[in-house]
Amino acid sequence: MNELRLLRDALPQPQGPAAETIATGRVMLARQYTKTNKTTRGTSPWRIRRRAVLAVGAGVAVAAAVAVVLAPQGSLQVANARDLGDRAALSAEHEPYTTPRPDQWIYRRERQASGWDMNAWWKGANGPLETNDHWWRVDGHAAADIVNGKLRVLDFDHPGAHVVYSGGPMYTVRNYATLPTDPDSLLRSLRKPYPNQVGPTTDADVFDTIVGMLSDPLPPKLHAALFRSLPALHGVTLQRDAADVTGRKGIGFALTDDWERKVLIIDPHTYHYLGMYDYAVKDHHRAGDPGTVKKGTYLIQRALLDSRIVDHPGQHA
Amino acid sequence: MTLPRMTLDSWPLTSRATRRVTVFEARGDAAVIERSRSSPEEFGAIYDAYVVEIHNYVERRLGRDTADDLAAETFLVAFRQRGRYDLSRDNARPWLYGIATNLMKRHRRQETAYYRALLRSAQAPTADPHEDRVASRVSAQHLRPELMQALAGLSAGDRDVVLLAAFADLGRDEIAQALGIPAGTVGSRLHRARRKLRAALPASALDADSVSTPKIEDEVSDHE
Repeated sequence: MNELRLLRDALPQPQGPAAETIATGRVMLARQYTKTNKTTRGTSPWRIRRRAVLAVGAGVAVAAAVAVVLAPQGSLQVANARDLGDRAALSAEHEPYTTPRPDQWIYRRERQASGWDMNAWWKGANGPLETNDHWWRVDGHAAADIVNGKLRVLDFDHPGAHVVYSGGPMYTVRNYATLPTDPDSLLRSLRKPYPNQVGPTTDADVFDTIVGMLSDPLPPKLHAALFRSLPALHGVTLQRDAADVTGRKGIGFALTDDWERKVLIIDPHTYHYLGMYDYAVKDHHRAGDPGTVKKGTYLIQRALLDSRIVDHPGQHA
Repeated sequence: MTLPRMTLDSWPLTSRATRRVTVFEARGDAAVIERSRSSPEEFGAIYDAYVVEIHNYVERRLGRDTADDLAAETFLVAFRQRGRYDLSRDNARPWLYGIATNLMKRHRRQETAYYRALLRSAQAPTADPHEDRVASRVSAQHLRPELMQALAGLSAGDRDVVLLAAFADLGRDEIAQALGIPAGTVGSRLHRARRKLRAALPASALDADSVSTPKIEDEVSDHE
């Protein structure tokens, strides 16, 4: 017996990487792709699959195709919503994060379909796409947006400001640190009713709350807990192919609640939140309304283009 | 908004069959790496094809925890260096093993400490009873103290060469590519390392069968 073989046999046999380790490494790598080339973000698994199929069809050497076909990107192996939640959580846990100061601002840029009218909500939002910039001060005492090309800052502490603080979301950057980071306790917190709430908090409400929170910079553990709690909501399933309103392809958590279906889309490589849409899966008439929402009508189509902590309102980066 | 489903659906990456096919039949690495220069996400195919074996190689030398980090880092480095990959080399294995070996230089002390810990540790960790090589493995494990002592005593350069031959199953020219050294140097280092290992072993351990010897056995001359 030669000594090289003895070496192989004498050392403990490797156990190999855990599936979770492989997934983490793939996420770390995928994060490099977007750094290198922003335009490729979120488009790859489909493109690779399509190319692989074409390569086989074109009679390219089978062995060459095997390497591509059998080695797809991570998202293709996602088994179900829970699996997606775990993968996204794992990735979120490694995201960099700095707790913002109370006097800093959260900047958010979104692109969404226009045309939504509260008084004719059943008509949906199907207008041209529009881009909105918003700023919220971390302490919740001010907000800003762009009106007619000019920055408008709303100071809620200003004498004469008629703003009711309790009107905003219950949880924002100002109190994210107080939320529990295990999924079950977190869901209990997110289900707590608002002081003036009518009726119980449904899982569809919690889904909306989570969508809102994912649009903010988040503490990594809370970020992970949100992804882990999504599959625990009633009616949530995996949606393999989803695209946001700007056409970025991703993988989604979908929640179907009677006539309405909400889809939260995340990037299949970075697991970053990309956007959401909400549409009618069947005709529905709400008592007292003059109109009926038709199956296939989009009520919301929204993409998150940027979300970051800045020092001043009006600041983009 | 929803897209039509593609015809190919998901397949299990971690199944043994897939991994074997991918590892042993994957050719066209150069084409994948070339495409990844303009479409970075293509590089994922390289990761999926080789992460397990790179991990195993590092795990054998530094233990599993370090391997988790170092294997991932190997592919990050490879991704960043993909622009410099020599596209005339169709198999990316030597390149990846070279990067992993290079990254391990930071862990030299840890590596020798690991071998010394193995030297002291209890014999014969669980061997798979269905493994046909189980008998030879158990007998090899009895020699572990001598081998570990000898391994820890090798120079870093000699150890890199002998372990790439033993664990990565790379030939002399591939080891030379991996480490960026002349093939002749690979030969002399390997010769020296093997002589030291042999010297540490009882003569009875070195005579018997030589089934499935690493391929370098036939390639490397025993002189400088």
